[in-house]
Amino acid sequence: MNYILHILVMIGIYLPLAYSLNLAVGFGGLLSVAHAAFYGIGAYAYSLLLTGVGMHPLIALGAAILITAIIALGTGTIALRFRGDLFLFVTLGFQMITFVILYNWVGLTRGPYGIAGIPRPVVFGLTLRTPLQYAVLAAVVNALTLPLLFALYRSPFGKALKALRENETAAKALGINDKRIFIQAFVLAAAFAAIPGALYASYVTYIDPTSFTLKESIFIAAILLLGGAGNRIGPLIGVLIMLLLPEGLRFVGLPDAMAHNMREIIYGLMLAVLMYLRPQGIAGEYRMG
Amino acid sequence: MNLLLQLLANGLVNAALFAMLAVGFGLVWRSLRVFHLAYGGLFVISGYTFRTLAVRVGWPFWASGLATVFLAAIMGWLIELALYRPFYKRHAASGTILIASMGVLVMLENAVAMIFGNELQTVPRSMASVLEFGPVRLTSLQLWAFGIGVTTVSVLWLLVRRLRTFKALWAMGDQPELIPVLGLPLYRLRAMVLAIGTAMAAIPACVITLDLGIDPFVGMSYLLIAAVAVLAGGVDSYGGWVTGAVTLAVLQSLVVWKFSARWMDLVTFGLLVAMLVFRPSGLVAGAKRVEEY
Repeated sequence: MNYILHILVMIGIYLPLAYSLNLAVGFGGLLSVAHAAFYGIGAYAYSLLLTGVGMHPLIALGAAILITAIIALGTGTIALRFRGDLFLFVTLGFQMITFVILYNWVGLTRGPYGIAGIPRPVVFGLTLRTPLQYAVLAAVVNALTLPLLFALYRSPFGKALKALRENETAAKALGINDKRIFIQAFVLAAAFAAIPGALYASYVTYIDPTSFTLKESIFIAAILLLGGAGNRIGPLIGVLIMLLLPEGLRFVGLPDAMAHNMREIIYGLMLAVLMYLRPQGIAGEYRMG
Repeated sequence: MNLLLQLLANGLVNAALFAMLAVGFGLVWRSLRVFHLAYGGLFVISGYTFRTLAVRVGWPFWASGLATVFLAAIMGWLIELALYRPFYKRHAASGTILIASMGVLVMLENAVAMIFGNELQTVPRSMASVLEFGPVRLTSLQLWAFGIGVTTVSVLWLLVRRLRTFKALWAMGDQPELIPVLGLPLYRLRAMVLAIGTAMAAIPACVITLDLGIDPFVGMSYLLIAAVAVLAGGVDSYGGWVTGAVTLAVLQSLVVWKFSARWMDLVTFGLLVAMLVFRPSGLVAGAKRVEEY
């Protein structure tokens, strides 16, 4: 039972990650591999503000979102001078730099030792401990963040973003401020990633830099590419496939170490085949350009 | 001071290895316009092929190395047949090819991990003899690496400069449809590029496996070194790729000297971002705008 609840919590963490990245990748057409960096910055900011400063969790969460957004604003300003492949490389560079800093700035982040003893959240005097309580918390977080993101998808802002994705020149000619819309999308996507970051930190109560690597960024991007980007159903399908596939393999009877490699092989193969047969992913509407 | 000289010497040896990696990667990128992420996987497979031949089969190192380079060329050709050619025939967008290539990278790395295990594997060898040049000490293995690197990179440079076939590759990068018009075999050229590119990755793979050992997941880091060298040096010219690789290797040595090896990646990717922002056409480049890429 706890096992199923754990999977539910993980789904609850990856859903907002995928849906927030969807704003940049699916609607803006900006394939970024820095999402794990923002997720990590959110997790670290939240944990450090809790353990180091002793803030109230909700204020710490707000501050973590703000810090992530400010860093994203700086990164986005540089990265959005480019489109396509070059944009991807700048985000890749930022992802690697973030990891090096998290790993080596021992004074701030405790480096490879990670941050332990992150306090569990207290809701109405009740300290959340059991997987069931966390599953409920994750559900509440999703119920609060996803509708916000969906509203953004539907809003004039989302539509403008789509227009820019389809034809930047034409959209600009219609009076859409491309620079502002793109940077807003990038910053919003990053800021939303801080929320699952904080959720993750308070769930496992211990974080270290190895959770926020380039591999993780690629994994999050692969969720969107497999499931499909640019609408509301694609990320859900991607998250379910990517998180349930390894669990399914475990039941087939593969040993754990093999199951991990097997999962990666299957997802690599799926990416390659899908890009050939269906570049928009299983249920997406946007084809990677 | 002596430490700096020693580190610079090590940096130059690395520069030779990086240059081979960058040239293999740059060739594929410039002429196929493919961001060849599977390169990292081919690097890993080459390393393991070398180790298997040298340790399990028991061939001498030079024979294993030659055989590995030959097999790598065949693998590169297979990658073109199985991966890039179908995408090219579909006129797929470059983004989809990049992602498919990443999928293949993940597949190759994990297939290797399943067969050989996740741990680092080394090649047992006798201690390499050390040669002293004043304050600088280099192992014979490093000297070999440097010599092989300089030779292959220069020979290929000469070929690229002189041979009409190689000149056609640059044209192929700009307008592949015009290659058949010139009476040149488009698909055979593409296959050749991937064969040569993969062979260029196999040489440093053999040297690094012999020197440090190999594990299934180093592919990504060497791929990134090659990509950063090509991007920082300038996508369009062979000289740029080599310059980028040398700059990167020497900078990394300077970081080890001034700070510590832990900050190496910061410099690598800091260089990438700084180059893209301040000089997007690379260190060595003619006049060209970003929009042209």
